[in-house]
Amino acid sequence: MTLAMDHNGLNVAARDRRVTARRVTLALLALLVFTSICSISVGASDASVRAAFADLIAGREMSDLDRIVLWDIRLPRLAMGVLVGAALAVSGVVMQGLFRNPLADPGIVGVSAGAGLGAISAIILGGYLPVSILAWVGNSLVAVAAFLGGWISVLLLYRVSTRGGQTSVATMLLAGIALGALSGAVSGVLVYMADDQQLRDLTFWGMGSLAGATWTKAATAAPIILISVFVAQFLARALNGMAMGEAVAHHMGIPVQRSKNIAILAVAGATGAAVAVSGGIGFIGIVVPHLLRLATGPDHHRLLINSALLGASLLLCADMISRMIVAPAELPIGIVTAILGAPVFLWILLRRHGTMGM
Amino acid sequence: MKGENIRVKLGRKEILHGVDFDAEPGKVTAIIGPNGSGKSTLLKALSGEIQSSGKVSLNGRDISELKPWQLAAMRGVLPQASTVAFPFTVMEIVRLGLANGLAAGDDSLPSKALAHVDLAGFDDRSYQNLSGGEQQRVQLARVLTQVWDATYHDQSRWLLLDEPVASLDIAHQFTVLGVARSFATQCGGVVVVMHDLNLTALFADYVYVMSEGSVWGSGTPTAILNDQTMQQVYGIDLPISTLPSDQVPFILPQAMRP
Repeated sequence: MTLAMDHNGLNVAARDRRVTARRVTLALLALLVFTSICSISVGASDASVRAAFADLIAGREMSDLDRIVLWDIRLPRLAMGVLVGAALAVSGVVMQGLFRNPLADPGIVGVSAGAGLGAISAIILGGYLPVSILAWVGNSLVAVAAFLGGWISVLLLYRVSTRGGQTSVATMLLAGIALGALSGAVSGVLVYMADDQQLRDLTFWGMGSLAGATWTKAATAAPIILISVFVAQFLARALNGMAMGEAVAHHMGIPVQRSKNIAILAVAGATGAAVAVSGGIGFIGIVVPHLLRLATGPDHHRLLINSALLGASLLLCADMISRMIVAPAELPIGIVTAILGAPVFLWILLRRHGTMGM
Repeated sequence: MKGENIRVKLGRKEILHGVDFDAEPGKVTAIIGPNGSGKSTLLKALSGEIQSSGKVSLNGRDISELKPWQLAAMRGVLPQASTVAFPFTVMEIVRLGLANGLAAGDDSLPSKALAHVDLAGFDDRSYQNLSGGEQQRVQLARVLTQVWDATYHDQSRWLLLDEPVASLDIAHQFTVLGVARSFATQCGGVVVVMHDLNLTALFADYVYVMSEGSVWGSGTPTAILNDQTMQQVYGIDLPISTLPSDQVPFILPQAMRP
């Protein structure tokens, strides 16, 4: 009898992690609203949301400057920050589930570099494409090319590092370094071929920053990112099963091959679109899922949506830091995320070393 | 469960050379044989985990024509050892069986399954910190949760277990094989790869002896576990004795002739 009661007590505790995860979703939603308001309130200009609202309520016309700062600079930047942050964090979760280890991150294992190569190719070689294709893809050429580059990178990486459904962590990280270096080298060659205008485009793009945010860019990235993040939500069951190996997932009734294909496409879509509009921003994909797993456990059912929310908030925070720390200049956001994220990466490595081999 | 002319190739090497296999519901069918004789490969072919030529049917249906979730509703598979990539708790692992089985609504099953494998109260422990034997029993609880009722709509369900007692202490070897036994008693089918011949003799109704990728012979434990099998399959000169009371054969390693 005592045993049964103990048993029930523990059972409730075990269920609590799911309840916690649900509460965390609400908290993260609130956090995202809060960081969004902060994000459009701070900046080099004095334009403030409060003043704008005051103007609106008093029926006054907003000054042209305020309108430009808020509507044309800060809002698209906010939209892009939310999209890119969610995309990077969800890519991290899905890749980590796919490769069965918490160190897989699009930035670290060369997927961002591959997407970057795609983007650079589009900027430089895009002009050689037949006009009919250009007309068809239009503004999204860079995004589509980045998606293709990211997709090929994940496929290659998966082929090299996974044998018989088991991924070798060491092989994955090393293969990622090689892939990243190769993509970087080819990108370098392409940059040599660039003319003045293209170089300007490249510098603008390669800063790894939300500084170049426009409504056009946000609108290009939005569909790809939203679809990828949405599709990823349905992978929870498959990723949970695959955490125990592909064979076990198969025995549990999960269509493993199809789930893997979808996961790879979702990662490529989210990473590709994020890289296409904001350059390489690292470590969001590793920090966010790791923090959430510590808080609510590795069950992917809530991890995916919670990661999207926290990723968006974290990137907005990083962006605010990058804007404020050396104001009125801007620190590239990639530097901020690396300072926050690299120690977390090392910490995971250190802890893994104690518990399990590579 | 029926396998006809199962052939499996890994790379260029043929591992199974046309195996015929037949297991009946309500019985525990054991597969024994020396290391590398193809026991686990046979089980993987039967579970649909690896591609094989030949035909495997489960309750009269060709498994190659069934979707993964249809198969999952008919049979649970316990692999030799499972590593888990993330810090799941015991309860979260067992609940994964629930989410994928037919009894998805019954939230009490995981606790019952854990009690069956003598792990009641382990719900919140981290899987990664358990011993190998405990991990193996957690996985069994997950598989049991997946196919909780031994029959479903008058059709037998199946447990395929790959060396389920290999890393267990002697008490839990009895616990786990007892679970398999009672699953069979409720008209479920059990196919189990075994190493321990004494436990095989005690728990199995029918035994397949594998040797070098083929079925060397099959029969009831009493019929197949004899001195000749030991000599020809395992290559050792170890006499098999029987308990006079109920004719269960047993092996005493101490009786090994020098």
